[in-house]
Amino acid sequence: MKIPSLLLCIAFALSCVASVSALQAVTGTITTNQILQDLQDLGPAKVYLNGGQYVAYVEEDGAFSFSNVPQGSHVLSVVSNLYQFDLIRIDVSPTGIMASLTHPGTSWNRQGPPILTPLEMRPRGKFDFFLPREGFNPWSLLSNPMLLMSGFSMIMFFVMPKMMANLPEEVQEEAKGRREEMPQMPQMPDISQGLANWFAPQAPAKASGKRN
Amino acid sequence: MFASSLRAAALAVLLAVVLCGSVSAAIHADQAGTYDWHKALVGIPKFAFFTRPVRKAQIYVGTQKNVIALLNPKTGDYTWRQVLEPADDLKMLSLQDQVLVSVSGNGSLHTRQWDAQTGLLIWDHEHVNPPASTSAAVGRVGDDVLLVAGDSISRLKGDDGTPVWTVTADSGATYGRIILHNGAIYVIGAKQISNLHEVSVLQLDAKDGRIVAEYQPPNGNVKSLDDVVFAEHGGKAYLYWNGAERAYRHALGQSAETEEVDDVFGIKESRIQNVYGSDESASDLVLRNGKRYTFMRSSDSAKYTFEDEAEPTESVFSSFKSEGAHYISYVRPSPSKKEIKIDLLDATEMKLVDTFSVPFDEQISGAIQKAFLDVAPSKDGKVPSFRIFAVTADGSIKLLKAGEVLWTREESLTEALAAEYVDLPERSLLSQDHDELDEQPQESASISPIERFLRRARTHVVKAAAYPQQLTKSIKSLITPPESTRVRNDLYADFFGVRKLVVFASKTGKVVALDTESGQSVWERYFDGIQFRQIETVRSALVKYPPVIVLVGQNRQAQTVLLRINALTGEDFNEDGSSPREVFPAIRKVIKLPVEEAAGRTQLISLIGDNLKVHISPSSAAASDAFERFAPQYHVYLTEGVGSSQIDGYTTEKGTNNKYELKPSWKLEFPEGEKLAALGSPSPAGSAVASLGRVLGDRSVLYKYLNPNMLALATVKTTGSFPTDSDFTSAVYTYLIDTVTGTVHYRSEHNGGGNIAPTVPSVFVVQKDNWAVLSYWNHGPEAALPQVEPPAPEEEVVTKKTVRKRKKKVSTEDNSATIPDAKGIEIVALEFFESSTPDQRVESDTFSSFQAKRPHVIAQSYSFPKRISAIGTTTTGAGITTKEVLLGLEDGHLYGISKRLLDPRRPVGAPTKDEKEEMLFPYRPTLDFNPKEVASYNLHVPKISHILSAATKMESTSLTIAWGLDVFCGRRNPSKTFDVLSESFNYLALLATIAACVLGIGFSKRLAERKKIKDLWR
Repeated sequence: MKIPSLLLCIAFALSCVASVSALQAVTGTITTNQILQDLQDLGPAKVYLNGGQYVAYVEEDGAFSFSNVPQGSHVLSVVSNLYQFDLIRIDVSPTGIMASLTHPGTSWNRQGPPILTPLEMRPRGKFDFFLPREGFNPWSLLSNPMLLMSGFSMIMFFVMPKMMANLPEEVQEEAKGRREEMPQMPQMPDISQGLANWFAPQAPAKASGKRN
Repeated sequence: MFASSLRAAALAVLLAVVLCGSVSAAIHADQAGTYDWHKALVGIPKFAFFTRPVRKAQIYVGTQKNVIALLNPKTGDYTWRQVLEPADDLKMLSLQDQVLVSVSGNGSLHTRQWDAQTGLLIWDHEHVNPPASTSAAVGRVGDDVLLVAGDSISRLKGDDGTPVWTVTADSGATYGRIILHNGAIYVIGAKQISNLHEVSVLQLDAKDGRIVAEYQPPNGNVKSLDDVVFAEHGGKAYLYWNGAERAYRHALGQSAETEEVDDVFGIKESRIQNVYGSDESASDLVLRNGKRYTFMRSSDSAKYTFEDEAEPTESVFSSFKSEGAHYISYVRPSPSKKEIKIDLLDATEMKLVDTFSVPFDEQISGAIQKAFLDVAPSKDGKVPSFRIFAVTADGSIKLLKAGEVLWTREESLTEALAAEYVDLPERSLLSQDHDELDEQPQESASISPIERFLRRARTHVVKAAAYPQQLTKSIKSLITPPESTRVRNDLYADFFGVRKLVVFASKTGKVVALDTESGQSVWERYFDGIQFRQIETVRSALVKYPPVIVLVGQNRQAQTVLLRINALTGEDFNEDGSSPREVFPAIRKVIKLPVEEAAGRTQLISLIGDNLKVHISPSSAAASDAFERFAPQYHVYLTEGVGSSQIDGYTTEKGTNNKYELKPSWKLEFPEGEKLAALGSPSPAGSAVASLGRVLGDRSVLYKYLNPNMLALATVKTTGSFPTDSDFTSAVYTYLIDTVTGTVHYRSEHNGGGNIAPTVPSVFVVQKDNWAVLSYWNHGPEAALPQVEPPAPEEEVVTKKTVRKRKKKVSTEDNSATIPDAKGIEIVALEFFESSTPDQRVESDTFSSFQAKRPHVIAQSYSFPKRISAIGTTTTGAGITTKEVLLGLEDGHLYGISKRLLDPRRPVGAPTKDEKEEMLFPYRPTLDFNPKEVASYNLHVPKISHILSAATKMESTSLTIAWGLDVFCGRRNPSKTFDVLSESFNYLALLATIAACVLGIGFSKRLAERKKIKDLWR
């Protein structure tokens, strides 16, 4: 118990049931907020203590109650298929009940920030089950890597010869020499090249012989 | 060259995007309902009320699935439903003056009043000392609610449920009926005296609950309290019951008086017939004499005798009383059994309105068990229109009116214990090839090669002729949206193999085959008195023969019945000469064998008797030949199921007179106090596994331990009776055992783990390939066992406690690591490898359970925020797609967790370079609930108890059905739909681009030609 004693005192002072008995009543309400504006939208909901050892159903005004909760620490969760609620830890002692916030994955030996009782449960969020549909965007089509790549090679197709033409003679010669020296990498058969050849006018045999 | 290397890089990027993109496989909002369907059900009614409070009629039901619902008679849909917990047994539902009160519970007892129009709770009263007895009754005094539970009777305030007074009747009778008459409360019960029940009456004062009198009227022997009928005549309240030989009546309050019904009404050998009313007020009285029925009007001696005769078990009476109108309906089957006849009697006029007939096939739905009548007020003297709400023996509910069935709800699906997918046959002409493939060698030898060639050529010609049609169809299916082809009547597989049949077999004897595309019923069968618990597909539709399934059930004599059914039509299958129905006495377990008999190509079914004798179905010579060959390698393990404390292994051997029987080979008794809580099922040999090992970041391989005999199971050990008791402790133990040798390969303890409550089973195991996933509820530190065994050194168990310890860097005592530090659902992932060192595996061509090698098991546990009610996995054709563990959540979701998150190799702490390369997620002690992973999106699918998946022809897609209360069917794509173009893909744009390209090339070809000619001329 690492909670400051002051907080403990406040929590005990606020606990609603003061009678000294082994069984205590835990009550609360599901209340509306920005996320849940009307309780009618809540859908089928109930409240579990310890995953369903005790079950409370929700009344029309959102109220729920567990009449006989024995001593010990309990975890309270709201079962709703549409809304997200906090997990609440309930500590029942002969003097009263104490509620605190808890999170899955945190140590059960530590208590989170205390919460007023009777509990007021407000949804933390509404579940969004769907992926947003991406609208058609011409820019996204253009930013496609394949399209960018083909666009780039298209530009190079026109620009490269011009650039080469502008270079001085000796640099061109040098580049040509270097190209011939370079080891030829085995190449995959290029479908687009093959198709282009197929569509191209039938050249005389010696023209095709020039190709590697 | 530059371009090609760039292209390779782009391909790598694309692949990376496909493979390691987000784990989520959610759908878009507009896709909801296109690839999935949901049948929202309520269960088989135990209690039903057909009322007409104001103008509009309403049907309230309380069902065997503990659901309370208001049905709309127009459509059959529910206006609201309140799904009570499975352990919260609905004992009583009462509707009086539009006040709906339920009594439910198991262990504790709750009385709740519900708002009849909205289904929301008004008040909840919990009994401090719940009685052991199961009977309950509800009555009303003014605005207050009178409640009888066991032997305690209390009056609860109508507005908040606080008790006004409570009395205990220590007479030893069980009370089940409350009658208010002249300001006195009469509580009717039955007192057991040896084998007989005697009607017992308790008279109370309504004000203070004082017991005025307690007596048993003479001749009060009844079979059960349900046989006692309450009716009012001339201001007196009477009880009627059928005695052993005669029917009696007793006026309440006059303890010593019992009259014989024969004498009162002057009908010889009369019996009391049950009449279903719209609420719980005084019943109408119908007397039966043989097969003749007479209606007695309560207030005077007027009576009406129905002309038609019918068996008492087949005729159902119901009455309707509202605003002065009073009608009686008499429902019985017509002699042809193809329709039912309904006599409608106007009870105020004592005149038969008419006899109506409604088409009704008793073969499919069984006899009507309960009927509730509603009559719309007739305007200007016309024939009043009536509707009858009927519950039939198969568990379906119907609304009948004159001449037709308005709607049917197949509520038997809520009681389905087993389901099986049936692949539909291919439409293509492949079956002709199969004809050849299927030939026996002798037959092949008898055909001349020329004839064989001609036959092959013929097949090709037929195929070629059918090809254009197929091509146009596939093109059409590309262009038109898929929705238009959802409802089809022909039973052939579709292109992607997502259309199958799913056959449900229920406890009520109903078998329903649904189309997985539309959810519509394809065929239905009803078998009276057989409780189905298992379905096996013994022959799939791949060959020219129809698919065959075997239904396994138990008849009323507790014998095991096997039914052979043609899975496409639902008809009895007897083409191969075997009998479609076989009955075996005293059978313990029914197992399908991985062998088929040569004649009919159906797989064998073995039945293991209580005396360990092995029976084989079908009982043909071919089948016993096939079994003879298989028997040496046939190993069986038997348990008594959940709650048992041992598991036994057997081998098969030939006993006396050539019958096979089981011989015990091993026995595993769990340590003191451990009880079996959940059993996995080993993946059958030859199930699709894409890769034999896991490639690690440094390109070394951890080989998977793929043993088809590896069984994962979990046991629970508890002390104390209820989790909130001070002496309560609980722990879950995981076992991995070899079912051939009984070797325990692995055992681990999960301290504090267990079931949420004794009545709420929450330990689940699922296993697949080389992994298993276990989930349980952790009761937290308070329920942990005080003494802890040190964990075995070779088992590397990483739990969240150790993580936290590392973070906090606090040195605690050694065993504190196993004291749980959480309260909630925990999921444990186990994975088995052949060796702990990479690149090392068992050096053997074959794999044997008898090898001494033990698997290397690694495990990790996670906490999960939602309660789990069922667990399953996805299945895909080749096993390449990442698996997904499917969970039924108590919130009403079907949820998928990617196996990549349930991976025990997830690194604790910062991942190393190799671990990053392996694309492992860093370990986190919690698995978050991600709404994008909810397969059933915003639908409310509560109480999922079974999840079944099937592979489709698309590797990315797994067909999934979840049922329990509702039935939900959808598709899961755990690695996204990598083999299907997205449905937004623009085929027209693609075609247009190709056309433009072709045109452009042709155009530029002409230009180039012209230029070339010009150049030549130059």
